[in-house]
Amino acid sequence: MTGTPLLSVENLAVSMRLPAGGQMQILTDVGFALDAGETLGVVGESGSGKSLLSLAIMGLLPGAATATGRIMFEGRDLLALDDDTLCSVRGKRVGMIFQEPMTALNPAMTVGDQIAEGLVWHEGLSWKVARAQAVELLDQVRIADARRRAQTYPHEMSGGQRQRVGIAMALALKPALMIADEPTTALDVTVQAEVLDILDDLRREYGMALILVSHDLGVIARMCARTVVMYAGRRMEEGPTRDVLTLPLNPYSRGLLRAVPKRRTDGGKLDTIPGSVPGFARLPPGCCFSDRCPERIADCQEAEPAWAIPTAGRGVRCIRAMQEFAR
Amino acid sequence: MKKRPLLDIRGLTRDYVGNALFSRPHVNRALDDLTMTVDAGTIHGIVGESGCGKSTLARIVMGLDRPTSGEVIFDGDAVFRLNDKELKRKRRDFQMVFQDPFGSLNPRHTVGRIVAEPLHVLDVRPGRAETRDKVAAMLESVGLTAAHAERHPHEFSGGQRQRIAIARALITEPKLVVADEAVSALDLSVQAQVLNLLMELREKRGVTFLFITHNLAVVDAVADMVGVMYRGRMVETGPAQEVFASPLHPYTQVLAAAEPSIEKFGRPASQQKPIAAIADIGVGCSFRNRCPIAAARCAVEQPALRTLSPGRQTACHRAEDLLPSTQPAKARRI
Repeated sequence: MTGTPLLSVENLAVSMRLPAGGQMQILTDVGFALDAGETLGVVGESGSGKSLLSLAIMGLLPGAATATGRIMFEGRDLLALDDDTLCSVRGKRVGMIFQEPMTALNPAMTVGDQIAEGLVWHEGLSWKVARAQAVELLDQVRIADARRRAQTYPHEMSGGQRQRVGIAMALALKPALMIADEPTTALDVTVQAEVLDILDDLRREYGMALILVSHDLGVIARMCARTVVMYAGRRMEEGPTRDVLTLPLNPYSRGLLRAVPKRRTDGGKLDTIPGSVPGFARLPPGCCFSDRCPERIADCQEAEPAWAIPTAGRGVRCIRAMQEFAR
Repeated sequence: MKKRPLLDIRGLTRDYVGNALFSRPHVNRALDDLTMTVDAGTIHGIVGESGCGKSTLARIVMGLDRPTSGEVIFDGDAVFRLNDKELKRKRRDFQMVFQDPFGSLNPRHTVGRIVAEPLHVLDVRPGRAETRDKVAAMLESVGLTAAHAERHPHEFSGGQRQRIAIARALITEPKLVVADEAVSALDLSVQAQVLNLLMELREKRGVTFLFITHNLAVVDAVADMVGVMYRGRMVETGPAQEVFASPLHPYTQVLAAAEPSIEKFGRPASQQKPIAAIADIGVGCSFRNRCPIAAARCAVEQPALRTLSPGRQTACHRAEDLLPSTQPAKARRI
């Protein structure tokens, strides 16, 4: 084991100030560590807080949000940095790819200039040099005829091409950590496969660490060595992806895996998780999944189960899972 | 004797003409001589990537758009030969569920009013009390309660809204429901609930579904039959289970290989062939630039959809090469 990891999130909690007054806690007790070249998948349904987590690491939390805990990145606590210092980290050391390739780009600027902008800003390059580098980057994300395409506007490109531009932008400054929030959700499966391959190549080439946020368990299985499953702003389970997806410890992960559509050989119904994801204002007492959990016991609603490490490399938040392990 | 199919689509072509100001008008062929049938009481899946024409197909089947040529014969009537009044009357028999459960429900109306809206096309409009009863019964059959009729869409979650949209589609007791990406916007745990509802409605009410999606796994889970579309053409059809277990068109294979799965860990070894651009339609096979097994013949002759084995059709010159040497006995994808 080397010394300190590239990124370590400890005890992160984020709460939002409500317009009507008062606070609502969104993220609770989130923590994980990531080394250079490693990949972490963050899975969860909508409302699980997975996007807020990526914004928190990126330092892009909305004004109404307050974060506590620590986000240690390259030896500095990102939550303690002032805006100017954070600005030099964001974009340069930490890059982000957004879900919506339509809205993440500036419609009034050529894609080449959008990629070059970061290089001019952070590296002090001249526009001329930066534009030339932008062409190289477009080539790297496999956009054919990059020199000409650099001079086009986002609306002239397809969704898959725009997402590649988003990747090229995030990649321009060779960040040590890349956060990709649902990077391929809007894309066709064949284009998705290509974009994922590009990300994987770049990770190998530059030793970049990657956090991939997705609701698609298949994408996570393809890309990530480790996975954390989130629900209602909490981590429910963490471990090597293959272990989490084949031997899930938390009943929520099990339910999620069973709900992946697949043909029933007996012609019966598909497995579901009853109910729907509760809003943060309406969480049940005790464990946040207890109202939908098929394996609930009385203790589950007594108190929120603590994050526990049943075996090296795995983590889980569930009384039942820990009981199983004790046996 | 084969029963008459509920929906019979013959040689459907739809051209969209782009009139750019300073360039020649250019024709974009969204549907290209598409022929297919849908039997009553089945869930018929249509899969394909964006731009393959699957939504255009949905719009034409719904009578929301007219084909450039070809026929849609629904329950014995050629839809585009009906006059407006007849078409309106016919609409009670086919309804649609849209992708976006947030955009497709009027936020100012109560759920009761939204669900009751299609009743306007009926010859004899039900009275107020009868409408209320119908709406209540419908809401209950999609897993909501009669009391929900008083509420507004914003009070419901995505999955519940999609149930409302399904209730609206079913209130006129249609024979056919076209569902265009109806579960794509839903979370995994809710998606399975809605898919179960569709299967239940098919069983209990005998509703036929034309189920359009880009998600192969969803189609594999619920559909009886499937059609795979590429660039406006049907390239493969057959029982869903067989098509996904042993595809007879290279495009279906490419799609199935690219689909992420929780059983495939890590990056697959195979590399995709880079796509060479071809603009010409009509000459040769439109998939040949991406096809791993394209031959010289594919560049000159467009393959027609042909029957390869009972119930299985494919539009590929080299489909025989894709046949497993010994037919596996009912291979199932798990």
